[in-house]
Amino acid sequence: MSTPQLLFKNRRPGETVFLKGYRATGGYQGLEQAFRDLTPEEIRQRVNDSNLRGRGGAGFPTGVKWGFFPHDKPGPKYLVCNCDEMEPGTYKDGELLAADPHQLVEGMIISAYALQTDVGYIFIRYAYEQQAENLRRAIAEATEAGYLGKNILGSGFDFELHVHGSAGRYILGEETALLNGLEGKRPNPRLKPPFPAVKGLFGRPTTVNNVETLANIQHIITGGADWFRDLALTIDGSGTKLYGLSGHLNRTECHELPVGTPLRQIVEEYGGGVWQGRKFKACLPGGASTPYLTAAHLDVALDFDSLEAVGSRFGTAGVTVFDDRTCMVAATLNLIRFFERESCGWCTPCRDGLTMVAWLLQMLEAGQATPEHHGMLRDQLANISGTSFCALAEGAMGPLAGLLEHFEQEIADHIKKGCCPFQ
Amino acid sequence: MPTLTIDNQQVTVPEGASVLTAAEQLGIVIPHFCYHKALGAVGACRLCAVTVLEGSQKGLKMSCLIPAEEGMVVLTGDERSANFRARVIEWLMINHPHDCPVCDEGGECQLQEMTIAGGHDIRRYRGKKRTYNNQDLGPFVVQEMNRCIQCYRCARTYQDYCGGRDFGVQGSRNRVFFGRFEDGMLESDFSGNLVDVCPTGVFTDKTFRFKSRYWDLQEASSICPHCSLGCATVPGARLRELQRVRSGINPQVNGHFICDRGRFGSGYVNHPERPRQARSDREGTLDIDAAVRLLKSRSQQLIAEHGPDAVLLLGSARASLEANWLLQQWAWQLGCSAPLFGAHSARHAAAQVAAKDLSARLASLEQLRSSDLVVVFGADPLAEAPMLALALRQVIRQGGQVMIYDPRPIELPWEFDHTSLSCQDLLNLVGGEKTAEGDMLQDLLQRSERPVLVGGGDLLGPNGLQKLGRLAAELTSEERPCLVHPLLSAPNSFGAALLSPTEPADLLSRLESGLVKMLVCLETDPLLEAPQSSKFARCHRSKPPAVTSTTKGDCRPSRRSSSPACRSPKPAPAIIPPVTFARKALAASRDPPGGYCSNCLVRKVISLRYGSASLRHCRAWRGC
Ligand SMILES: Cc1cc2nc3c(=O)[nH]c(=O)nc-3n(C[C@H](O)[C@H](O)[C@H](O)COP(=O)(O)O)c2cc1C
Ligand code: SF4
Ligand code: SF4
Ligand code: SF4
Ligand code: FES
Repeated sequence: MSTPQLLFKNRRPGETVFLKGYRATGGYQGLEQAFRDLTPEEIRQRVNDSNLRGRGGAGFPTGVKWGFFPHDKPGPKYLVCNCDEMEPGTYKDGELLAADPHQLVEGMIISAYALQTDVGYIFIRYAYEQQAENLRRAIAEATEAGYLGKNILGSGFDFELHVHGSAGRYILGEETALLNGLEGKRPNPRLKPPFPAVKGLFGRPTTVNNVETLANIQHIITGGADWFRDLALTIDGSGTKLYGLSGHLNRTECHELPVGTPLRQIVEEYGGGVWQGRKFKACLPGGASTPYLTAAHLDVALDFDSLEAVGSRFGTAGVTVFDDRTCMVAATLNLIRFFERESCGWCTPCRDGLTMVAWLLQMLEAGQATPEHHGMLRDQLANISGTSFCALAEGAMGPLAGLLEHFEQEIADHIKKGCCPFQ
Repeated sequence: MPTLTIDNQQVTVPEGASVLTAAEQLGIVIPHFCYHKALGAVGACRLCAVTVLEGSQKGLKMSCLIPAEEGMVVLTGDERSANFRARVIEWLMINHPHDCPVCDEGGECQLQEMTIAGGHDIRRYRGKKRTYNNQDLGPFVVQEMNRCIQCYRCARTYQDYCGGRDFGVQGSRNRVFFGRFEDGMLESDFSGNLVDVCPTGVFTDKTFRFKSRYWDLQEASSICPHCSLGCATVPGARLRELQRVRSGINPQVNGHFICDRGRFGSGYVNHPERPRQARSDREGTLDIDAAVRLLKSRSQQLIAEHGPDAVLLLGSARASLEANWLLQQWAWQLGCSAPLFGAHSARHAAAQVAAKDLSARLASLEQLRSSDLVVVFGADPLAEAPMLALALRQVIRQGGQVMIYDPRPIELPWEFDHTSLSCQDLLNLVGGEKTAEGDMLQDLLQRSERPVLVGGGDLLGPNGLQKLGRLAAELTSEERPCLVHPLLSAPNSFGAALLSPTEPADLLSRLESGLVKMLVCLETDPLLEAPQSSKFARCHRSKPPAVTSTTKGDCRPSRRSSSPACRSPKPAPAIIPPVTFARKALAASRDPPGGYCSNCLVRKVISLRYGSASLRHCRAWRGC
């Protein structure tokens, strides 16, 4: 493998690396360097310079987000790691924590120091039992080693870290719903503003970051911001990314590759090509909530800006590939059903709008739809996009937008034939 | 104070007001469901969308959430937002059963109104509708969950505003359910507000079920007679029956809600045994005008024979200010001694302190709700004045503090500080005696910005309330007024106290003097209301010639027959029943034919010519 491995450097099949193994490959050097040589201010600056963008899906620049954080406000402040990872096609955080839990622990301690937060929570998907176990052990080891707890490395800085299991719904990944869940409340998203940085967990300043985002921090400290930016293949991009491959590929694994790796390379080289000798038809480039790419996009570099330019999103870089025998109406229906089921039920466009979309797609798939239904589907897309309370429904519109943009003909065929042309 | 343009009209609104409320000021109703004045905006229904042309956020926006800005330009009827709102209604109607014909909400249903306003007509969705099993929530509220449009108002009212814990949201997606964990009576003392607050027919009044259509109901504003707070209510009547009571809106008192006692506690109005006819022990049932003539002639006769003390007029803290005032006029006309305005002299004296000595620093419930520290001395809010409890809840919700000092076990459905202490210690505390507790309290009060002191008239008594007034005066400074909220015993204790001379005579001693030959009670029954009712009863028995003529307002037959005090040796020799607080609402059914409220009754007795203004007032309120 030619790509430098930051997060996956210790990953070996069936193994989990703990403190000893982690230290052996340079673990906790970033932390020691940060506490020894850098002020919190300098760490924040370095993260800002690195142009690290959030790995949780929205791709918001981490340095900018941290810039809003009132790090000097007295009283409790929180750092929350989002490891809910419930989106279909996204499994990178689980892979990382199964292999190397200290990556996250170290990243969180440095981040906490940079933001001057005193308590951290790792909010973890209910099904990630092994990963939660790994984290608990890693936290105990780090505490033992003096990296966690009171007066870390003699710096006078205190930080404690807890693992909290999610109740297991997709909406808990939305950061404000997550905070409600963490407080033991119903996980409806919160009204913004106020943003978590102002009023987050228990009403206190809080930063929520993804596992992978936080695990990159120590590498930015040791390697420097410029080195980190240069890891990417695109000019605007920075760092590496965990790409989780799934769908109709010969090999569906998770790889750490540079940001900006072209889709074709991922499909051919790392996925081993489309399975059963079939052709590539479409893919979700970044999880279930991103609009489809088609064969015409195989040479697009997978990065935030380049994907936005072609009307899709980088999301979580969970690449799900569909072969040429896939009915895109059926695939979209399947995805919409997921979002409909996972809607928290708070706002109308999502709770009831997705029901309408699912019904329309199901009519199409069953061959009972008319051109009027086709129009209604467009109408739903126009009215659900940008009008929901949180980004869940917005995300659900990703595949629908892709379907209506690239596969109009398939929809028309369903209507004309009166059945699914793929059956 | 930003000035903005909505639909080509300019309006200036207070800082922080939403576009929705700004539009309201112009008389433009932007359709909405989840926004409610008392509950605020939460952005759930998405119906209130408007198009913002100029402003820091442009495009389709939720008007309940975006604050009005200087120079903002907003359209409410443009194609984009109108189209979107029609979609929202269509989505909400996906699962709604078309059962308006059998739904009690019909005619006063916000969903009906908004569906029409939204321009949605034909349902395009042909899939399966979601259905629920309903719960039995007890005798007051019916649930029909299939009609729910998920505006979350019920849960926000029941849990957030009222602090109830046995009702809330369950489930997710398009299967969210609003109810209890299992069937059973709603525990909150404010459960009836679900009926008012739900914009659809999910929660309706069980006591009113299938009785009337809203448009057939005769409604009128009234005031709740059940405690001293005087919440606004709207009784509704039809077919000679009071069919329901709903909450009126009075921002300074109850706001938008009332307690269940106020809503469901009026069964006596329809009770078959409630006296509706005048009667006297000699003549039997009489028509009201004859009874009035009888009362006039007997009272005049007695005064002529025995002098001014022979007739004693007893007003009451339940009667309106006008009726009590008219009673005074009558006393002057008759030449008898001045009326008394309360059968319970200690309560009356406490009310006098409230009305006369504390009047400069009284806090309305509205002011109390926005206080940051409320200290309650000797009052059990939920039992004595439920909406006071709800006001305290709002103090806590906004981060304020509530401390209660009371010897009794006090329960409120949320956390608060309760210190149990003896009545004497309570008085000492109010009196500012130096104790550890007192110092701590002083310290808290000094640090608070808008303190309010609540004093229970019954436990503190007149002296205690005086002390409370002094405590408030000491704490008051230019920039920090300290207000008091005295809790009195009856709906018009305050008014009755205002009318009383400073040194009121005690009813019992007046009766025991033997001079009184006739006692006229206006909307009061001393056998029930005087503190030593047995003594009173004895006195009543030992003076057989005394003629007692009662005109009692909300005569409660059930209490009359069950309460021991009511097993009076002799019922009042003459009764002229006035109408109840729901008079105006009952006007359509004339209850009884030719009935009058107590205030018009006294007017008739003194043959006062109605001034047109006061007549209009009476029509509006009681409907005579
Ligand atoms: C419905 C929904 C689900 C989400 N699920 C996740 C998740 O599982 N993990 C995650 O890191 N971010 C998730 N997010 C994004 C978070 O809200 C948030 O943007 C992210 O945790 C911020 O971290 P980052 O800046 O490090 O990316 C989700 C967002 C939405 C709207
Ligand atoms: S879009 Fe609305 S209903 Fe859907 S998850 Fe977000 S808040 Fe809940
Ligand atoms: S029950 Fe009524 S108040 Fe509650 S969410 Fe449904 S429609 Fe709204
Ligand atoms: S608080 Fe008192 S006045 Fe208000 S509704 Fe209840 S009983 Fe009536
Ligand atoms: S009233 Fe604005 S979103 Fe419901």
